[in-house]
Amino acid sequence: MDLDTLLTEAAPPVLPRSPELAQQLDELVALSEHEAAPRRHRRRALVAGALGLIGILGVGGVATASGVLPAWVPWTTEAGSQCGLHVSAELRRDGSGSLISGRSSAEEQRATLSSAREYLGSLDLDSIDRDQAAEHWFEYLERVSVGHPDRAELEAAFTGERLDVHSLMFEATSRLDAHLAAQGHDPGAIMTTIANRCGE
Amino acid sequence: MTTSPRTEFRHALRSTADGLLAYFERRLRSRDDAADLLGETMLQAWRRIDAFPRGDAVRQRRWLFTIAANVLGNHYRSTNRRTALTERLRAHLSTTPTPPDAAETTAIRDAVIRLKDAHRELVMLIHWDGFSLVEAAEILRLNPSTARGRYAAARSALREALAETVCR
Repeated sequence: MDLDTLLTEAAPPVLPRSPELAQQLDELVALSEHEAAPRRHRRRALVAGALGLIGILGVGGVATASGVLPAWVPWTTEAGSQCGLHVSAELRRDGSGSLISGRSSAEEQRATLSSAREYLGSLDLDSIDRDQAAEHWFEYLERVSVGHPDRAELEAAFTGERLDVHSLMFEATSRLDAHLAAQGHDPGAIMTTIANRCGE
Repeated sequence: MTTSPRTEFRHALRSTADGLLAYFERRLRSRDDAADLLGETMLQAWRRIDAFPRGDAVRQRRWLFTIAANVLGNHYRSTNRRTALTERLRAHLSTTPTPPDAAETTAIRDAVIRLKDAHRELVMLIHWDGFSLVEAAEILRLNPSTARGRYAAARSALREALAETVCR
């Protein structure tokens, strides 16, 4: 037997590879990303105000939803939790299920829906800059919150994973709206439903 | 949609993690240490993301192994470190057995381990981790001609050490 073969075959054994190990390695990649992240943008935990902002995503045609939906797009919180986000687009309908015409024709609505679904199908959540998304989220809250709370109050209400979830949801739908507008569609022609789950 | 640098980096890290783990497993007696050094390699890689070579998977793998080689070098020069980051992986590695080796295999491996430091790592990278001589030289930050000389010397030493065993 030649030296090359002998050397190659003498490689020390490594742990048998398994799906469990692969999963742990994936988790390690996610954890290392979090550990290596600069801390300068972490939000301060200030005194929480009773702002009642949980449902504010309903403003602007975006509603939170719960329940099991298909095609969850994975993402990782800054604290390393594994989460999934689901954004779906549907034609606007009234309580009886009939299409709401609004400013768009039925044909325009369908074209908008098709464009929205295509965009959502290629959405890369981990490419979103979290600090920038948080900044957009707080700017949005400052514009729309009842009573115009100051920035410190808003930052106190949204910290940690809660901030991650809300800012990412907001950023995803904002980008969808921007994409549709750039394509010449009316973002208001469709209804967007967004849901998130973590730690499953 | 264009892939972001972080997404491409994350993908490269995921696809190389297994090889990096094997790299440490083959060089360290303790699997705990292998898990720790893999975690350290990932941390250092994230912190150097600005230097990550985009668009070339082969270069990306080599770049990550270069960081791993530095981490291993630092490990040899310092005390062991344990971090919460790698606790779970450590536990997994320490509870999974590996098969025993044949006596001949052990003899060859011992001969590799007894090589000079500068020679040993070249042989390991080429024969155990699957890199070419040029790639191994880059990972070890060696001039290719220097690497060639060391590799030839390492092979001579191995032939001599194994003359009574099996190689020709």
